[in-house]
Amino acid sequence: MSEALGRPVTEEDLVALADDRLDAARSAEVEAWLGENPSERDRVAGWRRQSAMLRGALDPVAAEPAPPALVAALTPPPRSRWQWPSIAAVAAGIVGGVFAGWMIWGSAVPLQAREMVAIGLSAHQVYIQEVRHPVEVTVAEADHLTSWLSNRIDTEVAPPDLTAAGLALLGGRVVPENGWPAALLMYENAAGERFTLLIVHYREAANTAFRYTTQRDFGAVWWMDGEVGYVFSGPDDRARLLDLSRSIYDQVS
Amino acid sequence: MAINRHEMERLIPSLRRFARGLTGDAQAADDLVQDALWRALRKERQFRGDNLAAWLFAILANGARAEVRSRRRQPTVGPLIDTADGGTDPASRIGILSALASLEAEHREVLLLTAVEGFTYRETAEIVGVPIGTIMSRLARARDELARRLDGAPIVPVRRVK
Repeated sequence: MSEALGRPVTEEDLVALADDRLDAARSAEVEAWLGENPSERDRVAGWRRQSAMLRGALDPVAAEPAPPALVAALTPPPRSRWQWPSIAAVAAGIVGGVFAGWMIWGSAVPLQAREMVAIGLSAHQVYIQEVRHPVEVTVAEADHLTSWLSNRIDTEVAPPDLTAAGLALLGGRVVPENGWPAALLMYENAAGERFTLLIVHYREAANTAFRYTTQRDFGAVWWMDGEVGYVFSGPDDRARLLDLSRSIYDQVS
Repeated sequence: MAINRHEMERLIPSLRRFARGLTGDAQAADDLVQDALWRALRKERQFRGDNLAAWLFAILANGARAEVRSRRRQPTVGPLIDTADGGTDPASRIGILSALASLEAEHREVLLLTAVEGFTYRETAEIVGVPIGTIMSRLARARDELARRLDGAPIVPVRRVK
């Protein structure tokens, strides 16, 4: 079909011609071949029209100024976040502690851990009641969930897999923790019981054993593992929460 | 290698255009871009090359593929078309974007990368992670499919080009 014109014309030639990416000599050869092959000529002309239409439809997006939220994504929050609590915060912590009955922990428990547990338990109670919007990002967007939470709290958040224990991940959300974002993951079992895992990133590392605390009908196991604190909350069932927490610990550390 | 933030910022408009073409939805597109920027910053030490654009577009394309995979498990329809923001000619704009949205994801991405974003075939092959020959054949398939959808009639090449 194209012997007289040198190299045979391939589909790759047609694609490259439609993109104006052939050198002048080859371009002329392919054009000449198209002159004898009207259906292929129409095909390439159609391709060119498509490209122009695509650019016409999408170029306005690139002409918009970059949204501030995206520009802000390039400047993550400062890495350091831990501050020793101010006197006011200490006072508030003590008052809060008395109210919640946490004084039994004694002085060995760092103040920040008490706040962490308080936030974990209160977030648990607030969000497990949400029927339609228990989480901001559902597990259907697992990748987005992981990268979003990881970036918000500036440490890798890979949601632990608790399916072996019958708990399915619903998704997660960001919750405030002393003005900083913390990650809250939510799980649910077949009986409709919900569990939450609060993940808080601190700058100062600490390691603690599992501890258990209760509030109303809820219980929470919490621990610090390096710079990251965890509060796993659910129904007040110490043995079960400890068991699940061990499984979480094995996966996150 | 530390990446110049201004270089990244300069690429946001075209990343948004690419993401919009991939998803058809303004909000979903910006989420994808944000994810890609975050991912890039988190692994910026892995950036070895000199082609920041190709690297960022590859991260975005990967994110989009992951989204498509996870969306497949959900009972939703394909990419949404944002009908709210029409261009100068809303009808044709929606037409081409609807047709684009109905393509297979692997066809959509190569078409956008070459025809709209202007990457070379070699760069596109790098971004998508397949040989250049595959890019060329995907482009031909993508364009024939798109033509079929725009014309509403099947394209049957009269003669096989070899």
